[in-house]
Amino acid sequence: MSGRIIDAGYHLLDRQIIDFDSKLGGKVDDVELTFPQDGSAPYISDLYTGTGAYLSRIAPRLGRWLESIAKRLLQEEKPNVVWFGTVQRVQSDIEVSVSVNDLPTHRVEQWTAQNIISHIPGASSASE
Amino acid sequence: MKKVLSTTLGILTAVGGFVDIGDLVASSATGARFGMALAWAVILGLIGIVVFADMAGRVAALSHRAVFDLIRERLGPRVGLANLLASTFVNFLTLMAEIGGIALAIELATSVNYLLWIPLCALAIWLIVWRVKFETMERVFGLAGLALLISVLAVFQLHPDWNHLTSQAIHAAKPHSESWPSYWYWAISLFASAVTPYEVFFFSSGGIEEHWTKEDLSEEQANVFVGFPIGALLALALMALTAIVLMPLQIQVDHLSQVTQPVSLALGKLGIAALIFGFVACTAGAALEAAFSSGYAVAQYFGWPWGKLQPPRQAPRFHLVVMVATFLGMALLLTGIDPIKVTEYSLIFSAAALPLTYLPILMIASDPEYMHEQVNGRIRNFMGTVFLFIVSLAAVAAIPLMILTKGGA
Repeated sequence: MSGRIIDAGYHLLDRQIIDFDSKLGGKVDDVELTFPQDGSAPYISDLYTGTGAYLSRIAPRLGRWLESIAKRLLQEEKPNVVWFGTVQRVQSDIEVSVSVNDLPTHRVEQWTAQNIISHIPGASSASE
Repeated sequence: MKKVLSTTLGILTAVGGFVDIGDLVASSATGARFGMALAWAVILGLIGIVVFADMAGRVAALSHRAVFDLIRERLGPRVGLANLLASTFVNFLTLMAEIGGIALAIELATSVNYLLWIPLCALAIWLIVWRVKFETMERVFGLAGLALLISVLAVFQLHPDWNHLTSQAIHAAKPHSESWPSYWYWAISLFASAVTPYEVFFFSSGGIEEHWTKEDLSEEQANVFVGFPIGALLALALMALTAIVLMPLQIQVDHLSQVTQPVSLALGKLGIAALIFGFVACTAGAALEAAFSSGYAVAQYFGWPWGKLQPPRQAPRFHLVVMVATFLGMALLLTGIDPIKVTEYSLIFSAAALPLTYLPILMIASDPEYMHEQVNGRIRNFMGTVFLFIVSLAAVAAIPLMILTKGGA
């Protein structure tokens, strides 16, 4: 990428994540910088999204607690992460190359859909 | 015909938002107590909502982004959250008030106690959000709400002393029987019943669902400049009706049935039938707007999928929020809490929370990064700033006045 400076605080944080199909996939709740071993310039390696990452910003202790529960439940080291390499486009929203179904925020969405919403008649068909 | 029908979003927003239970209460109560002296607050509210909704509609058409999406983006998670909590509280109070309003209106027609209608009303509102297509909904309720135009006809039929009414409106003087705090309390209520945040969430989110683009700006403007003035006309007519009939008799409005009396005097039974039909349509329209807005605000803040374009299964948390809000509102109403009081409080809290949503919209509408060449021009920025001042003044005064006047008594 050349020619455009992105301010991580302004252009990334709290922006809407959308997938290649323009489906909504949560907000960028945090950004992770990686400092390479060889001393070269740090770069943005990951975006974080989801309740744990969100809470870490407004109530750090609660957020960390929630993250640690999610880690144990899901048996994943970083349950909330979206690899920055999937980012296709940074505009007023952030487009990623994966489907929303594979984004971390989608787990709760899917849980709600399967366990609550789909039990109500008419949940799967479009409005008339 | 398509052009006519395409303004129904604005008509629904306005007939439902401008003339909702809040306005039925505020307009007719002030008409009976102050005559037309507070008509200026309705006009000021009209200009305010036109400025506000126009900016929000333009932001929606140009950035394709919804209000709360942008509020979070511009204000950050903390201030955004405070904003979300305040707006959700007001949306919820409004939703409750409107569901109560539909039930009260049906009680007028059936003489069956409103509490029995509340579960049915809540269920109907939820089912419409769940199943009915956005366009169908806005057309049915927007056009049905126009039945309230009967109140304009009734004003003419009463052959009022027009000079007297206009001089009341122009002098805007406080009647001797009223105190200054209650004058300002009701002025703020009237203003807030016109400029409500839920209307703006609904209008701009609706615009995104209808895929507005830059080419649709004229449609957006038609919606704003046709819809809201109709709403203001209806509000003024309701105010005039109680000003003409109830004020000379020194009768205060504390029940919805008193609002129908002037119409029955002017137009008889058919007039009442049309009026009650209009009440039901406009309170139901407003209940729908408030229900949608609760879901919009939460889903847009967190970036979840929202709206009616996909089946509910594709926007599960949005539908969950709407469902919980609707049925929680129903449960609280069933405790027997007075819907008219809920309405009055919802207006005051709405006034207090207004700058929180108004300011970010104004900021974005004047930001070229979002608006490109359609950024707010000199006139829009001037109007926007003037109303920021008015909205903030009303917000600061709202709650102290409520306490001082014990709710406008």
